[in-house]
Amino acid sequence: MSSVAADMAVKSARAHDITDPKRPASQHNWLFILAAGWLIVVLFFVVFGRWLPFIQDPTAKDAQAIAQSPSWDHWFGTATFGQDVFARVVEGGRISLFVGATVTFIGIFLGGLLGLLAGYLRGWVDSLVRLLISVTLAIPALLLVIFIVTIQGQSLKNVILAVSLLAIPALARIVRASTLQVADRDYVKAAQVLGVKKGSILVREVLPNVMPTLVSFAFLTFGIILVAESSLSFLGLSVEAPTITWGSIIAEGRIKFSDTPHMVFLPGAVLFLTVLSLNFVGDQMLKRFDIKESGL
Amino acid sequence: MAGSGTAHLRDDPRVLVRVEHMVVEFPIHGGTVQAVSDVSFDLIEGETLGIVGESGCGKSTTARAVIQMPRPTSGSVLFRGTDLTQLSAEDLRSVRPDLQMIFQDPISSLNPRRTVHDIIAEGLRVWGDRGEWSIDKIDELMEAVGIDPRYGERKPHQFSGGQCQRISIARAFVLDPKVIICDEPVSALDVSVQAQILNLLEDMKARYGVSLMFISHDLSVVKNISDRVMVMYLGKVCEVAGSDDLFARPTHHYTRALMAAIPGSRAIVDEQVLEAELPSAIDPPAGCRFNTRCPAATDECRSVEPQLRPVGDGHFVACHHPHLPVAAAS
Repeated sequence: MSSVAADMAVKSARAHDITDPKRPASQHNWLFILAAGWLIVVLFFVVFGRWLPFIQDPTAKDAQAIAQSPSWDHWFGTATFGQDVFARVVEGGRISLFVGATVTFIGIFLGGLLGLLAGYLRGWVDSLVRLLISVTLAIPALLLVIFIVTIQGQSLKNVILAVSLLAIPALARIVRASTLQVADRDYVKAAQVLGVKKGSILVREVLPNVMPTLVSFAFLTFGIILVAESSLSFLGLSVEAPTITWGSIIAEGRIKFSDTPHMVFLPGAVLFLTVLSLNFVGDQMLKRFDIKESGL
Repeated sequence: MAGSGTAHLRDDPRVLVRVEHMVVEFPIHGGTVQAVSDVSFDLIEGETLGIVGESGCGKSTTARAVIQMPRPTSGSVLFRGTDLTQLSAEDLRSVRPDLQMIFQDPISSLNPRRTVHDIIAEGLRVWGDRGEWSIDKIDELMEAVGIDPRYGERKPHQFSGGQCQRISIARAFVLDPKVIICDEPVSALDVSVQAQILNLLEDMKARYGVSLMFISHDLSVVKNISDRVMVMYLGKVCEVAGSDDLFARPTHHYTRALMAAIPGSRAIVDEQVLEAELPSAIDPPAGCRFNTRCPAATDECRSVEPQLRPVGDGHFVACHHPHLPVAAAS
C-alpha cells in the first residue's frame, strides 16, 4: 500500500511540477519554448509594427529599389514597385492574425456551446447538432467559403463569417466528444446526487474539464484558419486590395516569380512557422493537461 | 432460487425506504436487458442493508434506481411514504440531499479541477446549512473523515485512493442525509485500506445516524458491515436474512455456492462451486433464474418461479428446494 501511495505521490508531483528534471517529456520543452517564442515575436511585430521606427511604410514606392533581393536595408527584399516586403508582412499580419483570432473566438464560443449542449443534454439536441456538423463538414470547405465571399462580397466581415463556418463545426465536434466523456464521469453523477441544478453542473463540473481540450484545439484551429485565409487571399477572394494580407503578398510575388521569389518564400516561411508553432503549442498544451489527469 | 415476492417486507414505523416490485430495463439493440426484475426490499432507520451478488446481477442498478438514476421502468420506491418514481425532476431534486451516494472509483468520483474543500462543501453551496454541518465546519468534517484540513486547497490527484474515498464520504455526509448508498466503496482499494474505510463508514454511520445500502461482491466485507443482507442473482432476490443468520445457515443453493467460493470455507459450507457463466439478462432462464447452474434443480424449477418465503428468524428464501437443516425441514 505504501508503495502505491508513494507511486501516486510521485505521479501527482510530476503532474504538478513541470520542471521536474526526470520528466521524460522534457525533450519537447525546447520545442515548446521555441514555438511560443516565435508566436510572441510575431504577435509583437504585428501589434506594434506601425509604431516601430525601423519598419518602413509598407505602401511607399521606391523606383530605385524594384524587386530587390533581401538586404540590410530591406530584410525581406522589395516588391515590384519597390515597397519593403518586411513592412508588408508586418502589415499583412494584422489582417491575417485578426481574422484567425476572431474566427477562433467565434469557433470556441459557438462551436463550444453547441458541442457542450449536444454532449451533455444528448437526445434531440445532440441529433440536431450532429446533423449540422455532418452537413457543414460534408460541403467542400473552400468551395463553401468561395461561394459565400462571391455572393456577399469581399469584405472583412464576410471573410470572417465564411471562415467561421469552417471553424464552428470542427470545434463543436471535438467539444461534443470531450463532453460525452466528461459527462459520464462519476463526479458529474455525484453532483446530480447532491441535487445540483443541471446548468450549474454544466458550468462547474463539465466545462472546466472540457476547457483544456477546447483551448488546445483552438490553437490548432487558429493555424488551419490562417492557412484558409491565406488560400483565399492567394486566390484573390479575401479582403479586397489594397488591403495587405500574407496570402496577397505571396500571390503578388507569384506573378513575376523569377524576379521576386523572396516575395513567395519569405512570407510563406513566416506563415509556415506561425502555423507550425500554433500546432506545437496546441499539442503541448493537450499533453500537459492530459498528464494532470492521468497522473491520478 | 432467484424469485420475487414481498413476504420479507416489514411493517415497521421506522421503515425509511420501501421498494416494491421494482423493475429496471434497458432497451438495447435486439432486445431488452432485464437488469432488475421485480425486486422488493426495505430499509429501516439506522440499518445497514448489504446487497451481494456476482458482477452483472443488478445489485448496483437496484441501489441506483432507488435514487432514480436511472428511473425504474415500473414499481415503486417509497422514501418516508413519498413515491420517488412519481416525482417530477424538480421535486426529486429537493429530496436528493436525504439520499446520498459513495461511488466505487475514488478517482473518477472527484472533479480533478476543484479543490477538496470545494468538493466537500458543494452540497452546502446548493442547499445552505441543513443541520450538523456548515461552511465554517468543513474543517471539522474533514478531520472526522481523517483528512488533514490543511490539505483543503489541494486537488484530488494529490491524494491516494483511500484518501479520495474519505473525501467522498465527507461529501456524502455534509448534507446530513438519511440514506447513503455505498456502491462497492472499497472494491478499488488495497485490502489494508479497505478495513480503514469500512471502519470509518461504520463510525460515521453510528455517529450521525444514517442508514446504509452497502453493495459489494465480497461476502466477507458485507458480513462485517451489514445488519441485513440481500443476495441477488440475475435481477432477482434469492435470499434475505439478518447478517449473522445468513452466514450461520445459508439456505439458498446460490448463497451456499457463493460462500463455498470463499477460500478456506469448504469445511463450513459443503456446496459445489459454480461453474457455468451467468446467463444472459436479455433472455433469462424461465422459472427460477438459477436453474441452469443449480445442483438441486428439478422440472419445477425450470417452469415455476419461486417466491420469497419465511424460514424463521426473519430469514427469507426464494427457492423450491432450499437447503434446510433436518430439524427445520421436518
